[in-house]
Amino acid sequence: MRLRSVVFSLLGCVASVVSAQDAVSSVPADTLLLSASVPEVAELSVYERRMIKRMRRWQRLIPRHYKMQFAGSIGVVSLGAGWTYGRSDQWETDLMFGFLPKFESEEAKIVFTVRQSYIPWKIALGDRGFAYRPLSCGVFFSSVLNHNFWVSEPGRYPGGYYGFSTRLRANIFAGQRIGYYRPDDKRVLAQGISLYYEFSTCDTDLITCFGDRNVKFKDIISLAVGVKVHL
Amino acid sequence: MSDSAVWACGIEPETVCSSDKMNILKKVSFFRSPGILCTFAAMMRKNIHIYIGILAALVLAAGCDVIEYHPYDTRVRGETGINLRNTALIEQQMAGRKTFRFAMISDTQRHYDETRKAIDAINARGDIDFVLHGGDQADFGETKEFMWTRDFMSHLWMPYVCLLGNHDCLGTGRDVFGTIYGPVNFVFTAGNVRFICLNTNALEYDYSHPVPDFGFLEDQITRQPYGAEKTIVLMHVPPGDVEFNNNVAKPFERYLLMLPGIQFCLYGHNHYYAEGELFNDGLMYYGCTSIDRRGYFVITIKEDGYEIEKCSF
Repeated sequence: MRLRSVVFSLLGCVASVVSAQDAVSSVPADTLLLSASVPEVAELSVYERRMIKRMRRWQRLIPRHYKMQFAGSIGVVSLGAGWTYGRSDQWETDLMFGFLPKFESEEAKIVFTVRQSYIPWKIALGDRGFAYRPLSCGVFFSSVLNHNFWVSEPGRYPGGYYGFSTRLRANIFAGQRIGYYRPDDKRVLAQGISLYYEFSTCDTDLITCFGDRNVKFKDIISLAVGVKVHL
Repeated sequence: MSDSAVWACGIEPETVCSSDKMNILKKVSFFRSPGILCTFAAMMRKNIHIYIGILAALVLAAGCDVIEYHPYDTRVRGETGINLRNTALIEQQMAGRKTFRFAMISDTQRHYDETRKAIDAINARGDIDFVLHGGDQADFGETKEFMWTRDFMSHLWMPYVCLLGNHDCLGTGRDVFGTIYGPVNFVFTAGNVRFICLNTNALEYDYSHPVPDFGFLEDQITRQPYGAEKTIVLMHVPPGDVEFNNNVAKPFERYLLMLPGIQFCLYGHNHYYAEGELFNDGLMYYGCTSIDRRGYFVITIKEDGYEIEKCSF
């Protein structure tokens, strides 16, 4: 049950990355590896060209950035890898694993998260590579990897007894970023690094908040602070 | 060095002619961080409104307790051990009394507005000695839900105790309940009445725990404290419900009938008022409605008998 949900979410994520990258044909210098066409070199056989194409397709799965995040309803500290893509790096897909200590419960837990972000604007701050991104928004789905949580109710319950999943949480978020990007010729370890914060809320909390006046919106938002290293 | 860097050092560029620039910069170099940091400082000045915006958002965030590690993180803040403390308080306040009046609310999940109104109504009556919560404070079992309910319940002027409901068991809910309220089976004595609060949510435990706990029940049969002449049993799920362990429904009833001076049973769970004998043996079961139906019980214990009133708010 757990494995199935993880595999499905992984597949969905990979599919979205591959399709999105296909749509982007004019890639900057740093994404040369991802260009779709294989140069017509006379010496290459059909087989070799096919193999090069195949490898380039698989190379798209190499993560383009790493993230580390504090809080944000997906664990105390979460580490993740993901893909930055789009004409102005406006799309991001992340896979993250968060660590949740046991606090008052019986065991510590790992939370797996799939996140899709849209970061529409980029405002350059000065000419030294700093950039401000006034909005990043999107959705993420988190899954508690623990046997006490279920996607659909275990068989002992009558059908539709609770009608929701304790394991999966759908969240929406919005936040801001500040990034520092090195010029193309001066990069050593990475293209750039950015700091971000986000406010998020989840499906169950929204249901509660909409139905109730005593639970305010401020009661259901969750803050995340993180750093992204764009390779 | 650009003008913006000079700005960062706190020197106005107009007053500095270009030949003097380097000398002045050398003098103030003690305050100046090299390269990136200097540019960053310059940038900070130029875009100060952006940073003030971000800072304001974060300060606002810090003030609102917005750090949540997970909806089920079990990070409980605020009051804990409420049942333990409040049962002691009830025993102390009711000591020696043979008549008293208590209220019962139940199934308050996701209806904090109504809970708040019910609490105000109970406070306004002025004749209630203590309050029972019949379980299901949380709908999803999330940590926040327990803390919200607890914070609203704390507006009660009289002590209250809470039972464990089936929704309270979801995810890590049981752990949070244990921390905020205490054990899931507990007893207290109000005046001459023994209250036995039982966890009957057998389906949530998948037969891995004794639910209902007959060992605990047997203890109550054999060790009735001095002065307790009557017994009232409280539970969230009544026998016969799919949540109850119905294989032992009849033995459960037999145990209840062995309790000294058993009066009646109270339960919640069904979200509607109900009353009647479940086993045709004279033992009455009273079902309390849910808070979203704007109802609660007021139960008066008299020297000879009791009275149960359905109240609305």
